[in-house]
Amino acid sequence: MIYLLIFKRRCAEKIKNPGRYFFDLMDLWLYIFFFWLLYGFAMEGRENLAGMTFPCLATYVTMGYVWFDITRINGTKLANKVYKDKFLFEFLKPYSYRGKVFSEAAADLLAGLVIRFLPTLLALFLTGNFVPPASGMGALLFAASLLLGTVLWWNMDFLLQLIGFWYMTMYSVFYVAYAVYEVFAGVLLPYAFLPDCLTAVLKCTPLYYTFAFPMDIYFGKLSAGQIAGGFLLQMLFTVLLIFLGKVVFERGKHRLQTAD
Amino acid sequence: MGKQLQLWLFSKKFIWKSRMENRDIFRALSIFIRDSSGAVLLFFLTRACATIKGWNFYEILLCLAHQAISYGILLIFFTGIRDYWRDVDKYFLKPAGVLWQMLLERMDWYAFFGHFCRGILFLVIACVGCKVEFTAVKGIFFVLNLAGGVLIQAAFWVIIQTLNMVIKTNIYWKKILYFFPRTFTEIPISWFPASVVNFFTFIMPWGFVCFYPTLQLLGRNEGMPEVLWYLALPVGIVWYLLAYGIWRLGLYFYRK
Repeated sequence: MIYLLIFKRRCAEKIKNPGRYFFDLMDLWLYIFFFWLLYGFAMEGRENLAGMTFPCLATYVTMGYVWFDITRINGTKLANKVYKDKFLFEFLKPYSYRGKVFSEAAADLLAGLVIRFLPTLLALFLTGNFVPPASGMGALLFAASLLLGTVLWWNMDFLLQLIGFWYMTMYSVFYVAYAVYEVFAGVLLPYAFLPDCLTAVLKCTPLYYTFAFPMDIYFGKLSAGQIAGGFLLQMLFTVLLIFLGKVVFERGKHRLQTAD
Repeated sequence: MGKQLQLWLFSKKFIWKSRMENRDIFRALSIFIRDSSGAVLLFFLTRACATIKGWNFYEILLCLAHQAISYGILLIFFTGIRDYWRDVDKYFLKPAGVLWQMLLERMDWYAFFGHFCRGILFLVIACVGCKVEFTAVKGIFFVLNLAGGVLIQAAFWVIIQTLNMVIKTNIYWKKILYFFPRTFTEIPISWFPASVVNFFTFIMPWGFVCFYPTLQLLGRNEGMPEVLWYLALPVGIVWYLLAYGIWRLGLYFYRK
């Protein structure tokens, strides 16, 4: 119940200043437009690039960029609180810090879906570059895998955030993490562009299962067995990261409680 | 003049000492990695299509190198006006120029190292990849063009700061006037239609930050007059003087 209240409060905060979201949306669209241009220039005189047509690439990059934009957690919050000696107050509250972070992230996601994802999808549709999912079943599986991928991504993000117990300038950590993520999770660059050996390595990491795996389902590139295996690995990585998150959080908590 | 230079050197040295207290080298490294992701993306993209509009990866990297080096140098001199200042009033109380005080007050050494080292690395890779022959003339104009690029970007920062100071809105001037054009001109602007090229040459001279200096090093003209290769510094000086005029005008209105 209390998490629902946090969720509602965050949603209310998010829709408070619609004018600001207009500028944010324009900002987002300009960067997406830049990537469209880049892929458009690269495709000039070609039918497809790395086996993908321009509408496929436009759909991929647009969805990737917006999804990445709406699922990010404010990772510097914890470090700021630790630095200002305010984090110990979190233990007095009648809810877990992790639950609060995830409730806020869910509210951000909902607000982002309404304010950013749907208008962008509509714009993509109006430009005539929208490629629908390979099948109806594919669309359902895509939605399920993207949801799981989002939970996986939040857990990765949360784990990174916990470094804030030991290291203060967390934005440096997130600079590196997001740069790696943009390129190697397939957010801005489909896996078809990467060398096979690198793809094989990345498929053994959680990075692939956050966004590139759902998009492979979307474009109908995977067999039923591969999809089932992918779902299983998504869940496995999520459980592993939840466990790791709990261990690291306890270590951090211990560090704060025993610090002079 | 000598005293001003002494003061400037002292302020940079002072900031260096205070910033290097915690030796957060990872900060510089993180900036290096974050801004190299674009080059990595371009590397994989050009791997799939060999060239984009006749430009190979190394030639595009040369464009990125110009941007990174000039931005790094820019941070040494102009970090003070990069960020939005909410309390400009305090500078009016001191017996020195407002802009001069702002420039003295801040310096982002870590960002300088991150961008400058990235730029130098890109430059070396690109020059080896494109087999650029550095002659004395090319070297001199490379340095002059970098200076021009620094002045052009600084002029935009001064204009942005003036707008922030005078017009109180939530419009992101920094994004509209700086980050968007910078993103679009990091790739060769000759890929765009002629109207966009003219816009970035004669109206917002972002082409002189990376594109024309790159053409100068590569010895290509892309259908444009070769005199543009050498114009970055004059354009930079004119733009900076124009921006300084706007700044003075902004101060006049702000005081009113």
